Amino acid sequence: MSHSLKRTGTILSFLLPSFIGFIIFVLLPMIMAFGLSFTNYSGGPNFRFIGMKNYVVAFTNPEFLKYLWVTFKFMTVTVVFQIGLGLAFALILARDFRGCSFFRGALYLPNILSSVAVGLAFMFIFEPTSGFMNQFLISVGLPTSKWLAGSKSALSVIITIAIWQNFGYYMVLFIGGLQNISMTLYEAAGIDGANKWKQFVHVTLPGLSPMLFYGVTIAVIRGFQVFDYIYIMTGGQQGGGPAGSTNVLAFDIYLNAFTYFRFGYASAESVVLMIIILAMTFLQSHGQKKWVSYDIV
Amino acid sequence: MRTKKILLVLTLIACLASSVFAAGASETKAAPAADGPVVISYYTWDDSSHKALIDTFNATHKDIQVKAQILPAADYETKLTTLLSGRADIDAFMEKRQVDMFGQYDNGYLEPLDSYIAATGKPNPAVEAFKSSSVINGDTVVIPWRGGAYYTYYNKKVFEKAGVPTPDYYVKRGEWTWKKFEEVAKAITAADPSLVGSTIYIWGGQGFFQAGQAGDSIVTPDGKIDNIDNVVKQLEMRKRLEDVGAMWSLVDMKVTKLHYSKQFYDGNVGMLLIGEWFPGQMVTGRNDGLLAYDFEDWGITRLPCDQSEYVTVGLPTGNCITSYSKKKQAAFEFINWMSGPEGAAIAASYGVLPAAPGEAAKAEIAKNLPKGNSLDYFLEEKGNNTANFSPYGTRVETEFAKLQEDFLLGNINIEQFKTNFTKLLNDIIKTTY
Repeated sequence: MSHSLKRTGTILSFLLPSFIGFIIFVLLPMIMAFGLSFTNYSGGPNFRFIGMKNYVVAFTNPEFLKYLWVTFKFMTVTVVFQIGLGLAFALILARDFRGCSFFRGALYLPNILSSVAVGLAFMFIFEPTSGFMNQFLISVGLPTSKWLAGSKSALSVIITIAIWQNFGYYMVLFIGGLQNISMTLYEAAGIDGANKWKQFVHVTLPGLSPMLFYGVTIAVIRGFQVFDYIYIMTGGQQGGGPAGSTNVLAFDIYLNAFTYFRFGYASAESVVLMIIILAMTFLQSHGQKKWVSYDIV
Repeated sequence: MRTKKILLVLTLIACLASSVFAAGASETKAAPAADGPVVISYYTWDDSSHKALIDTFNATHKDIQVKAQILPAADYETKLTTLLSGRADIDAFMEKRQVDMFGQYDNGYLEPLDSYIAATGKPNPAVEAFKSSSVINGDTVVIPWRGGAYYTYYNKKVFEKAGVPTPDYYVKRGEWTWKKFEEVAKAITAADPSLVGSTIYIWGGQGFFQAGQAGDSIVTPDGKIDNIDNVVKQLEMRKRLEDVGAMWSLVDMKVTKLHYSKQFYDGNVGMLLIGEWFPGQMVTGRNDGLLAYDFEDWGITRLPCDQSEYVTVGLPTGNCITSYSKKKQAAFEFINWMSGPEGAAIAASYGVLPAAPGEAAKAEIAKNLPKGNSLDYFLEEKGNNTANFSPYGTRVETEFAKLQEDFLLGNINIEQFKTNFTKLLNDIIKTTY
């Protein structure tokens, strides 16, 4: 056996376990979901091929389009604020000063908590009658809100909690990126007369752009996939937020699959969601050539 | 050395792969029953009365043993569907959401039970009592063990505090209508704003009490929209009551996950309209020290009713046998026993209303109800309608719940509700395929 053949065999043997897992738990379910999206499968053997009907029903259903819109709203706001706040705190905490480790840890801490635990805790804080938030507002003489029980406020509350829990992750990511930018670049820019803002625009941002690209991509994907907060905080199996105001696409997929047993339709919705995520990721990946610099550091 | 390493890696991969498949195999492997008793695999959810029924059956039957598979109640329907799809080792199971039987029947998972019942030589009283909700396309697919009936549960202390006669007073006078219910609930809260006159829980089906009593189906099993006027009437009543604090806000209950039992245990709610299982929860509340008042301070009476003859609503809870079970006869003997007099007596001792209560069961029920006329109302002969028992049931209830919230939050008026609800029902009928 030649050396290269043995080497290839060794590499393959190490890759094989995770590849088997990938085939069983990712690839096969994806193929099955795609196939089932063309059927009226309801969890049993008696189903038939119905062509594009599930897709036609989805795109002619105003509720589906509404859920898609709620998903876009959730994704857009969370991405902007998670990345923005992550970057802002990274710029502050990337420097060494007394207590910086504590603040880094404190801001990252929510990210390691379970979304379920966070959701339950915030349910009590935003309880619409006697919750902490309303008690606080009353104590300072401000008007109270229905929070999670209001069809206009529930989504904003959930978005705020999602931002609070996740921006620390991006902060840590960006701190790592900032610490990799060579100080000599700042020194050179300073000698050339660049002020702090110009240094940020022309040195920091390009130096951080690979991390920003990765962060935005992950945040977009996570934004589209949101489910846990909606399920925990606004009604679970009882159909989601007040008057469906917080129902995102992933939640509607869950309802159709596991409450109505319309697995075929739910598969079609999943395929649509997957295509949207793939398209967004492709656009970002394609667009990175214009703004991501891999050679500045 | 390298060959050994490669062999080691390959062995580990083989172990990993075999463990994946073995995990699935262990779920489908039938329990050994060579010379001993026939062991059947039975799925239900976590409930003390279910456990007692299984334990008693196992203790009193030598030839059949029930291997209980207890799933969490909250995820029961989801997990059961997944298990049935995977043809897991299930001989019999308890149906938690009765309308799910339509899908299970269409997929061929349910064994028709008519020949098994015929072989016993007599009709099954529980099936006879709930025929309309036990039969699909002429096949009996479930044997009810728990009856289905909604009642008015009331807290005597709250009524005393508010200086209002208890609901049974109006029942005796033949005046316990929905209008009177609204008046009484408002009177309680008006007398003391810290008291909440009434509670109707968040489940979509709770919005169909009046429709059910009137015999409206919402959507008929053959896919036609039925009269929705009674749904509208009840919804308007709810809004009026919520607006003056005489009914617990539906949206608040849902978001805060405030359970109806907790509201009633706490002693601030005057009336709770809920099903026949609630006395069992009251017994649990008493045993766990959760009641803010004495066990004798509550009562049961009829559901408010506008019909000339009293009728309540509710679906029974029953057991099904899987069509692919290899131990159908043993499974039938178990579920038939559960709905029979012995099973009924055990169920009743847990405060549950059996589908066919015998004399022993009635004596047990009496022990778990407050003194007075509650037992009479609990066990009286009554009509029982089942609104929304159709293949569209789950979607109708869930989608109705969303629209109901839209109305209760003031986002739409009642005319918009009617238009949207009719459109919604049409969409559900068109997209159920």
